[in-house]
Amino acid sequence: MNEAQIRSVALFFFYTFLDKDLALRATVEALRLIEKRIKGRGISDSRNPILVYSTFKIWKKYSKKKNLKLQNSEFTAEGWIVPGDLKMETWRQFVKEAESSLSLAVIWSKLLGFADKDIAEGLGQTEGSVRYRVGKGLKHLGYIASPSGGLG
Amino acid sequence: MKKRNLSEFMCIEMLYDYKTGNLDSLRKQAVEESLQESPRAREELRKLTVGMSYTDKLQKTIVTQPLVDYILHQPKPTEKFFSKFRWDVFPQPVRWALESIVVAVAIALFVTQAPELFKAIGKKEEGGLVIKKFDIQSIEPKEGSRPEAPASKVAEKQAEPEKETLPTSKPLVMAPAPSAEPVAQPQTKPQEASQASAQVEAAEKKVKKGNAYLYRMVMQSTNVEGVTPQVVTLIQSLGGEKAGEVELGWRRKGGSYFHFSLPKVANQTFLDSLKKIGQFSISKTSHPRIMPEDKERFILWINELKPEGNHDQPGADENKTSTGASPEQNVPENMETD
Repeated sequence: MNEAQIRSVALFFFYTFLDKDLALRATVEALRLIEKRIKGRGISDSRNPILVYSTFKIWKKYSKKKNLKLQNSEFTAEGWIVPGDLKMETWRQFVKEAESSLSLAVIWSKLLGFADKDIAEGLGQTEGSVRYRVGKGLKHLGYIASPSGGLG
Repeated sequence: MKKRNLSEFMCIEMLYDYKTGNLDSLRKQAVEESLQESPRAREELRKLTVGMSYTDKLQKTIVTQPLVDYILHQPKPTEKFFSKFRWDVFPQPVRWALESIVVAVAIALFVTQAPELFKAIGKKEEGGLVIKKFDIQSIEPKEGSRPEAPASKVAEKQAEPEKETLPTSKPLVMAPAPSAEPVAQPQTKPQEASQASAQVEAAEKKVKKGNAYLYRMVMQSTNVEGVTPQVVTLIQSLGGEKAGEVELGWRRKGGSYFHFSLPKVANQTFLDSLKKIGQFSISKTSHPRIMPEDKERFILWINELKPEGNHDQPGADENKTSTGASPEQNVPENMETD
């Protein structure tokens, strides 16, 4: 695992859970799963489809435990630095309102910059489905972020 | 080619591809034309643009180096487990308790297992005793030595039960120890000596191959007085000989006792004939005493039943039908059957 991939996984869980402790724990577990899959497949370096598959699997696991009280992690420093001019409330509302498949597709495609092909391979779906979800998700996000959406 | 206009729905669905530049020139032109005509499509495109610009900002979120380092140095679950259960992490009372449990278990194991272990060692030593059979005729007697009994008799004596010294006790003639040289061997010539040693080895092998088992039989009878002579006659007619010190059909309280050896060939005849006299049960048990190959050892107990239904002897009915009840259970406990 290289550092860029670790950052991608950490960002994914930060955006999906919006909870630092949960994101940290899920990141560690997802990275372990990725390493395991890479060893199992005998691939020297991890690929984006494996990242997509593993993050999705861990996300499913932790999204059920989201309301559980977790122990505070030992990591107290600032882990994620959000741009100052960004309204996180918009994203929070988007994650809350939109279907999870849309928000996840937007994260993989637009925030982490994975190709539609890799996302489709990781999820076992078609590229068209991925593109449709990303487009729909972006429109929903734009609606929330725009002045008419109430939070713009 | 006739130009086809896009519907509003199709235009809206193609907006993402239009925005990301994934449409060919014809489609792109069609979408642009449709956008001019449809205010709803324009609104959708605006939302899409806002959404994309928002994600561009969101993309600038930074994951700090300390976090990456922290993630990289996270211990594996097994390491976490072992670090939690390190010995020095436990409080002193817990450590004492664990130590005492370990010591207690060790002592308990020793106390329960040690007797078995010693017993096994004892058995091993007992099993190491070798009974040798010497052919006295092939060995010249030494001057002054006293040939009290033929070697075969000596071996038989050795094979006799030590416990059976009930009526009379005859002086036992001990067989030479396995390590001791034969009595007359020093006087024999080297060739004769080697022949003798070969014969001894052959005899030893023969004895080792012999029968290390015993038949235990129990017969139930209401007329022990009448049956006993019949059985004695039967044994003697088949070439059987008493094996212990007591005579065949030794009368005791509650029955009569037979301890005898029988030629192996007469076994089936004996059993068939005995069936005619009465019902009996039989079991073959292993025994450390080895008999010659052509002979087998039997212990028969004829149990006296009272003529009327007797409830004092449990298992009497079962023995009548020879259902395989253990013969030892029916033999009186104070009887030295061996």
